[in-house]
Amino acid sequence: MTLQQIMASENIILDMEVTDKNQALNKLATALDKSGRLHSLKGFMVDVKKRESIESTNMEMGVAIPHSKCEAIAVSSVAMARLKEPIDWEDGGSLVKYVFLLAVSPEDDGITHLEVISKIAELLIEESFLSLLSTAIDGMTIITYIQNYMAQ
Amino acid sequence: MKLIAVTSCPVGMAHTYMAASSLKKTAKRLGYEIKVETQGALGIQNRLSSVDIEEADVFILAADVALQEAERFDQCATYKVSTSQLIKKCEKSITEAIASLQA
Repeated sequence: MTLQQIMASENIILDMEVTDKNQALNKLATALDKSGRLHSLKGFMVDVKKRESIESTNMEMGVAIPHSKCEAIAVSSVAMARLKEPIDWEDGGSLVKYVFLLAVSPEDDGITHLEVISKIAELLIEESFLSLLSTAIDGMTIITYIQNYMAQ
Repeated sequence: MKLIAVTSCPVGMAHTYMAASSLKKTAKRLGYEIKVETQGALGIQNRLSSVDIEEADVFILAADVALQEAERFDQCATYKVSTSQLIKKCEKSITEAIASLQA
């Protein structure tokens, strides 16, 4: 799978307006569902929250990476939101401004989808990438940046 | 100073790779040589050889789930840390690992 198959620009939501973590997760998951990437929105949300309950996915750099690998996912995907106002991740940690929701489908054979997602995870600790996220005017700008990083 | 590390996390998608990346970047900045093996959804990658393990001064173990092929590291002086701590406070973790194992 290619980056663009996994991270579609329709699933990159810039300046999302939400008031809490649950709303942010719901909006991102709903975007994935609407683009035909889930078998079950409800099943997916249950698994995302289960993972979150093991340990918060707030990375303390303004970035949270909720994620799931479960039967409810039809197509491996990444959805991303830049929040208009940072929110409390309900873990006693710092506020979250960027949410990367990572979904891996057990139906996807091979490893290319995992390679793409692991590369995105690597980028999340790069200040230059975080700085791009704060100024990007559209989803394609973000996708192109990741594409260039992967080509290195 | 030679460092080796293994990272792994429950789903094996995100923390494993973020922690590995963060270790490499921070070790480089601090002037240490490091090799990091990841045990994630992609299986064992960048596998540490017996030579790597033998030559290492410090072994940082950031495994949130059971380490695979753990017997390779039986003789290592090991510093344990969670992947999330490693991502959030990487420099502190490396400094502590070196201090604790040299003490």
